Amino acid sequence: MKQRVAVCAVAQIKNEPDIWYQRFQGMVLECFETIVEQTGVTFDMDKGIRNVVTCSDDVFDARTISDNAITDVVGAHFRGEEKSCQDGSNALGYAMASILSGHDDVILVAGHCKESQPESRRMCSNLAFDPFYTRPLGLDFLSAAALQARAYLKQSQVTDAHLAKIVARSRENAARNPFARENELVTEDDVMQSPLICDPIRALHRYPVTDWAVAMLLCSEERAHEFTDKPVWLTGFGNCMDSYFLGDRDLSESTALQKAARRAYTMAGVDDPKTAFDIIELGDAYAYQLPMWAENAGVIEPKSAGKWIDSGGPDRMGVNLSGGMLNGNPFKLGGLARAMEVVLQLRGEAGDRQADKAQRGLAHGTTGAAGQHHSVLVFEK
Amino acid sequence: MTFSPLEDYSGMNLGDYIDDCVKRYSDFPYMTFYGTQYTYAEFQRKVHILANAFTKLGFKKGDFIHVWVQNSPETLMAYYAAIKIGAVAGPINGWWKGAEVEYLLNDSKGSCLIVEDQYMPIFDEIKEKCPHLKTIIEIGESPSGNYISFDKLISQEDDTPVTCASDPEDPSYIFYTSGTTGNPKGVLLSHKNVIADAKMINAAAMKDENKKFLCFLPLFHVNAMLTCMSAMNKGHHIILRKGFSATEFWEVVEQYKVNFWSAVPAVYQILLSDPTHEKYDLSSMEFGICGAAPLSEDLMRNFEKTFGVEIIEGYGLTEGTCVSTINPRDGVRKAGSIGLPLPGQEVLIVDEEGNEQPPNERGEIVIRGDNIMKEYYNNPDATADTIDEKGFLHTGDVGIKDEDGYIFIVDRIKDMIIRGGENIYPKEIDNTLANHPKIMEAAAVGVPDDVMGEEVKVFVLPSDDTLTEEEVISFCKENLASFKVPKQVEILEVDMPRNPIGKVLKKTLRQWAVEGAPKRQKSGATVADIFGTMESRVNPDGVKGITANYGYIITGEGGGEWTVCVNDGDVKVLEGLHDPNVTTTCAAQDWIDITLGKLDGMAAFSSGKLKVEGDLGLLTKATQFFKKYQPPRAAAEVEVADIFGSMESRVNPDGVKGVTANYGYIITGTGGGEWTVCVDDGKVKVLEGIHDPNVTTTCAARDWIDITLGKLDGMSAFTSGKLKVEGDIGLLTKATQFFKKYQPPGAEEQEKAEELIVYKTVLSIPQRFSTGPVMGKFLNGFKEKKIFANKCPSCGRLQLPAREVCAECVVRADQWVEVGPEGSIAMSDITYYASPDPLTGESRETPYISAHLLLDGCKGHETLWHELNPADIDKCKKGARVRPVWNKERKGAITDIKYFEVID
Repeated sequence: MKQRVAVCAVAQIKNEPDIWYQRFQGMVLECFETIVEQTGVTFDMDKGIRNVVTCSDDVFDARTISDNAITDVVGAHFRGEEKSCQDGSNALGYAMASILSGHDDVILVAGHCKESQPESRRMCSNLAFDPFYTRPLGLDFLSAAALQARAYLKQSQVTDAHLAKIVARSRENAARNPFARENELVTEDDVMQSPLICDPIRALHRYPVTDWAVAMLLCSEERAHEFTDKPVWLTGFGNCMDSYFLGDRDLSESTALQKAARRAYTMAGVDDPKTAFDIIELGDAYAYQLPMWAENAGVIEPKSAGKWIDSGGPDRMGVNLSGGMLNGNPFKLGGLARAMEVVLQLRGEAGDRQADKAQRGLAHGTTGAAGQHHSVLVFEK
Repeated sequence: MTFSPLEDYSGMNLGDYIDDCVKRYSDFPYMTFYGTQYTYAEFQRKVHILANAFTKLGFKKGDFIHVWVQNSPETLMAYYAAIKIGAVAGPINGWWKGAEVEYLLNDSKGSCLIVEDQYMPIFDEIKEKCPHLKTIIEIGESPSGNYISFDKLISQEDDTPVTCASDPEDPSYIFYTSGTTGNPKGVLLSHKNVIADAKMINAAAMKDENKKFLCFLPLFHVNAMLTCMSAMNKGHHIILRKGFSATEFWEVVEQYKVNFWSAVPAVYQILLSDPTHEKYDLSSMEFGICGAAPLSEDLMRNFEKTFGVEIIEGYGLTEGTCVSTINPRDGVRKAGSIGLPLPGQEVLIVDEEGNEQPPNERGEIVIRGDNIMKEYYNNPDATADTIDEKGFLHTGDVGIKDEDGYIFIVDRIKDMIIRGGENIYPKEIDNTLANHPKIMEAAAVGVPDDVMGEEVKVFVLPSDDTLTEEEVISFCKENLASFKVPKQVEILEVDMPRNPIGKVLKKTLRQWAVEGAPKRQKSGATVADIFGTMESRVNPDGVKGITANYGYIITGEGGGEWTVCVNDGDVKVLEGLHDPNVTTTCAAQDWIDITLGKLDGMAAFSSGKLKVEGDLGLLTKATQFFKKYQPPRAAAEVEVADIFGSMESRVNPDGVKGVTANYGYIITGTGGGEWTVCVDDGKVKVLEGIHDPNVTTTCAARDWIDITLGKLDGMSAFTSGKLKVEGDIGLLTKATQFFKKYQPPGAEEQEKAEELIVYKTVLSIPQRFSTGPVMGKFLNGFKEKKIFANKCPSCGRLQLPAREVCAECVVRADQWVEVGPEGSIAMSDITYYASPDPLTGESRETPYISAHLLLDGCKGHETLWHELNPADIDKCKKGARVRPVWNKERKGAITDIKYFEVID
């Protein structure tokens, strides 16, 4: 029998460009209260939540050990609390490991980020680089992504026109997602006319500054019925870290994603990822990443992405129906946003964008320069 | 007659004793505690109210009522009320940690605890593990409210007199003594024990009535408990303090016209060393009692000479209620002696078979009398080991009695060394060696020996580094019987192992004797360097406003005399002593240790390692004068000859190209000499002596080394006259390029370290924080000078500053309450900032005081943290009233309140 844990409830606030009227504690609190309301979960030390996994970023929060400031509003007072300072999908992986190992059976996962708070998102990601070799040269996640985009586009059949299609589609999908950031619809021309901000990345190729918070309740298989009659099962998780120095990597492909995906598929018993999923959510912070991650996650053949886009592959395979990261989710929370969409789809709660007969879904998250770290989650109904 | 006759106490219980005293002195003051005073009658009324309240709570005869409260009138009221109803008062040592208190509560199985709020954090940790506690009564300024309120009990109306029905043999007190080995033991004292010892001490030392007695020893020890009890019988007025404080002692004596007090030797040492007493009228002082540890003859004589009051040394054990011997006030007082047995007590010196020893023969001190405890509670084995069948309490102390009956303590039995069947008392060796001029302290222990069973090893703390083991042995041979002469001598590099009050731990020494004593670690620091660097280490804020000369006599190798002259911010360090206001004498190594923080200055002072003459008060200020001393890294030995000798190998070809000239150098002072550097278009020869120089440089050897190492700039050496030049100065500027850097021998590693690049940037990304509605409401209130707390709808507690959620109930705290703006200090915290800030270089105000403030309308932990006015530093005490000082213009920020100030 497969090892699996239940996602009993998910809650989020709307992705917005600038939640100026709330501090992040208030944002998380709304999600937290929704979870409690949905499930009736308590903080009873025997039967309730004894452990919380949070996801946040010190630099964006402008305080070291950022999770210390969130304990009250996630009920972590005098309970276990751990922070994932990777992409939030790893918070789910961590919760899964805790439950499957028998360490705990009910875990709350919560994440928050306000990208609107710092003056410059790029200054924040510049700090991810080492202070001697790369940081003084001004590398940030955008310029690192541009180096990768250049390398990937050169060896794939993906063109500027394909990227324009991806962006326009993302906006259309997001328009059907009430929790998505409200962006104007754009045409493919609009995208191709948008200025190059870091060649070959154009202004509309890049995910916009966004504030968001999210929470999920996970528990062991045996206890799922206490909290929901519609559990979604997390059946596979894999993650992998690539080299820190960009020069050590072949940026045109992602070995780390390949390995992370293989680990998740093995755990979930997925034989052929090209046909296994009804829903696929990929962490496309930049337009070029949607086809690149699709190839490296093995859901399409290598070097087939151009044709796949032209032939309507993303729609056919239910890829990023939420609008994706490209429409706007904040730093570190991309993977949690992807998981959120997969869970809603499998529960049949995705409203106007609901896919037919969704049984199994893939969620992917990445962080670090040019996708240094990847994680892949498999969810089933 | 030496002692007065003992009053009769037969058939009396402690309740009768108290009632009798109160009857006689009804309207006299019994106790003054800071601003509160009780007459005997008023105090008795409080005792009766509390006793009635105890009865209503269901307490009865034989119950144990534990009292874990610092010195206060309430502490004694609780003892007396418990005794009145026939219960047993169980004081708990306020210095004990959780595990010890837990052991006590489980050993006594007492059902009641009166606990002060300051001990609550410890109590909270252990309470689950104390199943016998049924009733908990809370006392203090900010009780948690979870337990029965002592204040409420003592404010009740029912003051019906309570007559104690106990038999004199019934238990009245249980005191737990912490032995050096094993668990604490509960000493059970009967009514008769306490009355007897109280009357005995009065017969011996208290003829007068209505004296002022200053009590600062803790009431959880028998000494303070008994003196407060015996004082009643003479109508004395007790000036009770929370504890001993050197700074307030003289003031209290003057204010209350104190006549006598009871203290331990360390207190006398501190008082003797504090010259501020000169400012006070101390004419009321008559005598001081000293106990608990041996008082040195020097200290006793000096104290008596300085203050003209007698120190009465006594001796006793908790197991003997308190006092068993004392030097008579009206008779001969023998220095070093614990005095004569109190009337009503037999104090004998016995051999191992229990036979009394003839005068001046050693033996164990044993005591018999009505003061000897009933038993160790619940521990018949220990009781049987301590009290023999004839009723004598075995003290474990070895003593002698002289022809006049005066007793002298020689040692502890367990420290005795048995060498080939001969008993050797290590104290005798220790005391003998302490008279050696080069020895500060000696401690002898027994070490296992195949032939003799045990041999004597002595550890010696030298006051002079030149002390040798042979000197120690020959001194012993001259002054001790040959079988007592130590076989092994170890001169210690580190201090003796000591317990917190400074007593040498012989147990650890026995371990050192086997495993070897720890060695001192070399630091590279020297006394000369410490004084030499002082001027560059001045902390401007520390010396501000102080004008005084501090003299230092540093003895031993590397020592010397210095004077640190502080003149309102300006500091000069001179060699020699120059009109010092205060003079510190200390051994060189101890001074280094104190400077490096390895030896605590206060501990050095109280152990006598550091001696002070003059205005001691000045010295406490001196701890802030200087920034931390960093010992020099072991520097490579650099010689002038090596600098010139290595020049040819260091030639920089580009630097000497095209130059032809002879450079003469006259290097003066130690290690100096004369050299000529002959440069001939790329070739360099270095010759000894001066040979037709075109330019001649004269410089001291020390400065030349510094210039070569880059520690002294050549140009500034020239302008300051340290470096003199004759001839063509223009040639000299070229010479700076002639040679590659000089590497002192063995300095390679240091050079490598210099290759590190330190990259300095300040991490700063502008951020725009939003408050959210909750914090916004709180901060907006500041604009109208209002302080709002938000309230949890579930548990009702208030939060300051306001937060979205009650963390404990995990619900939104969405109700609002206006609190304050005045309040009181719940907990104050004083921090001395480093100034300038080592991180930013900005100067900071120091000290910095902050506090958790309990604003009016808040309770328990509902405190707001904010700064206090630094000018209020002396008033910042728990409970002090405060009010906010608002900025004129307020913008809705926590800094709209500048700080809170203390309301007088």
